Amino acid sequence: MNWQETIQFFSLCMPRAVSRTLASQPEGGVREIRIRAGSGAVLRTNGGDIVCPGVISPAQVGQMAEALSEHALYARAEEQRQGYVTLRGGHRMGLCGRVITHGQTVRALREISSLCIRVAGQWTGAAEGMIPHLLDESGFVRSALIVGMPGTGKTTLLRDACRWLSQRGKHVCIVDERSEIAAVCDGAAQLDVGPNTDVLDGCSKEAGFRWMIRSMSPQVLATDELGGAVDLQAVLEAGRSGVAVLATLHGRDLEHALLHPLVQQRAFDRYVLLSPGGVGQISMICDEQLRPLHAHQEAV
Amino acid sequence: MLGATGALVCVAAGTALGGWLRERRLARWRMLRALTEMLGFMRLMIAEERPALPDLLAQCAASAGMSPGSSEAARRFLLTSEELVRNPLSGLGCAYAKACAQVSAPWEQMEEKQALENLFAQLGSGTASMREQAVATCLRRLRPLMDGAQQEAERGGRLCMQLGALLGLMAGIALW
Repeated sequence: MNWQETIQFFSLCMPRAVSRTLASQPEGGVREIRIRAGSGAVLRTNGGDIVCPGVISPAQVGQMAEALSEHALYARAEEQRQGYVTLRGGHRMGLCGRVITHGQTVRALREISSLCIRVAGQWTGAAEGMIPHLLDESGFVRSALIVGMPGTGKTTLLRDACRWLSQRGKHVCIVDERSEIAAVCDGAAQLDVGPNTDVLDGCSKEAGFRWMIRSMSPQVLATDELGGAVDLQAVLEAGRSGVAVLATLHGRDLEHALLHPLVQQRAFDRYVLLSPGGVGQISMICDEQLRPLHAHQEAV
Repeated sequence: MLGATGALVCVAAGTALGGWLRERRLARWRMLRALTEMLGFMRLMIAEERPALPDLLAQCAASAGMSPGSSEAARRFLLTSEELVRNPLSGLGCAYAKACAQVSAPWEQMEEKQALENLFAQLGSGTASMREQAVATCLRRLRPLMDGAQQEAERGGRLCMQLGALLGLMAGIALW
């Protein structure tokens, strides 16, 4: 899905005032679209926030959520319970509203009041800063963990690293739990992840890693947003099988990342830290012992 | 000679009128039958595969096949699906109303019209089980209507035809 297609898709699903403002933005300029019931839509662009004219009603927010999910919101209950839905093109739509709970379990989301659409970008060359660190002296791929705050371009970097490795003949397998890395639609990746890449779409990391190792003989396994102990086990098992893992993790800096068992266990060979202030800016790359190797900013 | 021809014309016209009334009743029954089949399929798809609404409606329309009476119902479903793709913000209820305006079914009565409008008002929101329930409710309302329409078509249709022929015959005799 290129920029034009993305804008066309969003424009159909949004009120005219928002569509017009969206269409007037330069290619790749919009990073996020925020919709709130009772106020105007806000576009977060590279040049700052733009408030669209007009007030959006609560009913319109619900209609937009339905339209953006291509009227399949009901089929994405599991994702909704996590608070987001991945849209066509790999864009992520965060949802807010009234949560129906049963004990501690989230059962459903009603009366959707806010949307936060993060526009997925195909930024070729985004991972240039980390690429020299991806291969060791013998040409084997190193495991790398990309750490950054939400919206700092972790997935974009991961996708570009996959594309780069894949173009160089490495067999890359992506476990795309949230359909954000490759944005597979009707069996085809809509974002460029390289010619030598297989994608397992919508599968959990633990099951996906085992699946890929068993069936696709990968050299590199890539996945997004590692979480709990199950993910840790999956990464450690992949490492034991001799497969390099590229993954991302939420975290502000090295200190915060150190709180995560994956980092404590030194499960990766390289740690790529992204600057909280920008998008795709590498602030530091550390080795397996968390010693800094590279400490200058690489603007994408 | 003129009287005989007039009498024959009256009999033929009466029979044709009766036939038309019978066909109209049959058409309603066929449409209701096609609708219940499509909604049964829709219910299954919501429970099992959960496709996006435009796909769901298009698949239901395709499932109706070419059986008599299914064309209007299937065309409405298909047009609703196309409208949703063309104008995603329009909402399912509006898209269905638009489709109904484009494909007329003169034999359609208020009860089934109401049941379908309620279904399309509910089908566009809520969880999968809520939507499945909406389809089930609509089916529950349509099935007795379909059975009633079948009886009416079988008994009443024949009666209409016979009455038409009889009226024609009487008019013919009077003319002769």
